[in-house]
This record gives sequence, structure tokens and C-alpha cells, in this order.
Amino acid sequence: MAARSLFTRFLSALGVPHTADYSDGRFRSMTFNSLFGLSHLLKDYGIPNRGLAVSDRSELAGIATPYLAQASNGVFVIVTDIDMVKGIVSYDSLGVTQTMPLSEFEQAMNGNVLVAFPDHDSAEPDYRSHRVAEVAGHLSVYALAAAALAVVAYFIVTRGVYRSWATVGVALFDCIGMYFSYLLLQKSLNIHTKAADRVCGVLEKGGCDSIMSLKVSKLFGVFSWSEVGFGYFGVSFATLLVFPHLWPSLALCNVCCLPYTVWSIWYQRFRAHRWCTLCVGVQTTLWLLFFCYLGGGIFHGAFPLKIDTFVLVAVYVAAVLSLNLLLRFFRNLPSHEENS
Amino acid sequence: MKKIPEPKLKSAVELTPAQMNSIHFGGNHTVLTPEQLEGLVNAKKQQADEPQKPGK
Repeated sequence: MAARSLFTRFLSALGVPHTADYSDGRFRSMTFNSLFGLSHLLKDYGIPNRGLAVSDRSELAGIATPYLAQASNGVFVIVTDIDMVKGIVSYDSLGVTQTMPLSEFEQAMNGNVLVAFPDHDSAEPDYRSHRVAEVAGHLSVYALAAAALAVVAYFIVTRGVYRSWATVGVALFDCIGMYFSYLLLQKSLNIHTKAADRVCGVLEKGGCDSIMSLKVSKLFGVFSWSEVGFGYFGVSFATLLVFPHLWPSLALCNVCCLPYTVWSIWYQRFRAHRWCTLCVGVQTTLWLLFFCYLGGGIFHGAFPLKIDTFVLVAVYVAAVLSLNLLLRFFRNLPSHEENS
Repeated sequence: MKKIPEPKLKSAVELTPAQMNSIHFGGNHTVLTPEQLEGLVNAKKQQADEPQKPGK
């Protein structure tokens, strides 16, 4: 899940009743995208607060946690715990808890802090109704997931996908490929999640971010490979479930993707000198799909090429183009957020 | 809910609304790690040392 806003995480640390989506929305739509705006927002939540400039940084350890502190590069963190015995401070940055020696932390801060004083009246405005809406929203997500699983199960049974180890393998690897591509898509939208960071750290910490910042991470400079990947695996999975007669065409399209995997690995190894775990995961998935198609004899019937194969290719293209348009819309939405 | 006592700080000055409004959010898309904070401290120390070096 993407990190919540600085404001929402601060409310959680303070123990003030709130709903994450509403609080994030209020933070994003602050009239003043500044410490003053945040202070005003805290007052709307019934939380008195004060902004202080502390010139003697050693006094930062004397402020009761949690509070907001600004680093010398302007970024705010939530100081969550100070252990005076061990001399260690814990702070939250983008939802990730970090620890470091207190003395170094004090030197890295510029002295600007925001201290909040919640009381028993502090709470999100209209908290009860927001909470009901939040629970209803979560339930609808579970209901959607259950309905989707039921539909997938229906097709797996009625289309005979379960009958062969190869088609079960293809279904599984399509889902894995979709997951890796989804994590890459999140990174391309600057949505940071613990799941993506954990997976990305397997081969090389920060490798995914490095590779994705390169120009080659986009096809023709427009379509990110993560969009292409998600579109490919998504369409493949749906086609596998619904149109058994197109399985040979799926196998053929998979073979066409294999040269890309060679180029990707070569580029990471010899040009970029960085490894993107998610990208390597996608390449591996494509090869595992190939072995499933090959081992299951699914290439049989691929030739001569039928019109269905070309229609399938058109569907792949349409899916990637649609995804690209949709994501461009989301990327263009205004965002105050990131000091979080 | 956390109970936060008023801090008793000798060197603290309360920020005015105008000062607080000049402190903006923005620009951070990655987790601020302890290593990055140490880098900031080292950069500050280097800047502070530079004027003292002769011939510069």
C-alpha cells in the first residue's frame, strides 16, 4: 500500500481518531501548502499545536514524541521515539521507521519543529460518518475480490485450465508477472510501498529506482515497460481463461517477447551496471511461461497463423495504450503531498 | 491518544504564522535514510571548513 500523507501518519502517531483517506484528502487540498497550513489543519481536528525554531539542537531530545522535525534539506520527518539511555532516535519517513544515533540526528535537523497537544476532544471532523464510509469501502473491496475470484474459478473449471500442469503454470506465472508489473507501475507513479521496496532490495537496493529513471525504461519515450508488462500479462491471463482456442496464439506472442528479456538483462549488466529486481523478475516470468507453453505442447496449432492471432495482438496493443492514457490522467492530477 | 506535555526549551522561539507559511512541503519522493542525513551533516561540515582553507 502507498505511504499515507505526513499528516495522516502524524495523526496515527498521536492516536487521534481519523480516517486515512479523508485526512490524506484534507492534507492534499490545504490552501497553504506549508507548516502554517498543517498547523491550521491540526486545529480543525481540535489539536492545539505550536511551531518552534530550536537553535540548540540538543534540546530536541527534550520534546515529547511524536512531533514533526525538519531536516536541513527541508524534508519533514515524524520523530516517534527517543531512547536517552541508548542514545538512539526513531523517526518515520514516508511510512518507514528509521533509527539513528541521537547526536547525528540532532546535527541533521535545522531546528524547526511542530509540536501538537491532542486532548480528549481531538478527532477528525465528522469522524463517525467517515468511519462508516471507510468500512463500507473496505467491504466492497473484499466483495469485489471474492466476485473476481469466483469468476476466475468458473473459467478455470469450465475452460479446462486446471486439466494440464502447463496451463495451470501459465495462469500462475501470468499472475506473478502482473504483480511484478503492478509494483513497477506503482514505482513509476512515485507511489512507494514496503512490498516494492522489499522485493527491489533482493538483488540490489535502489536498483529498481535507478533503472526506472533511465530513458530506456520507456518504449519510444512514451510507454513505460511496466505498462507494457502489465498489459501483456493481464491480457494473457484473461485470454487464457476465456478463449482456450487462442492458447497457441498466446504461446506465439510469448516467444516474441523473449528477445526483450535478453536485451533487458544485457542492458542492466553491461550498460546500467545496476540490477532491477522487479525487471529481472518479469524477464524470469516470461521464460517460465515459455517453458510451460513448450512443455505443455501448447505451440501445437500455432501455424498457420489465423486472424485470431492478429486480433490478440491488437488487444495487447489496445490494453497497453489504454493503460498509458489512464496513467497519464493520474500523473496529471495535482498533488501537494510529498513531504511525506 | 498520546498526552504531549508542553516542552520546556530554553533556546526555542515560537514561529510566527508568516514564518510557518514560508516553510513549505514538497519534493521528497524517497525515504530519508540515516545515511542521507549523515550525508547532509558531512556536507554542512565541509561547507563550514572551506572558507578556512588557505588559497581558496
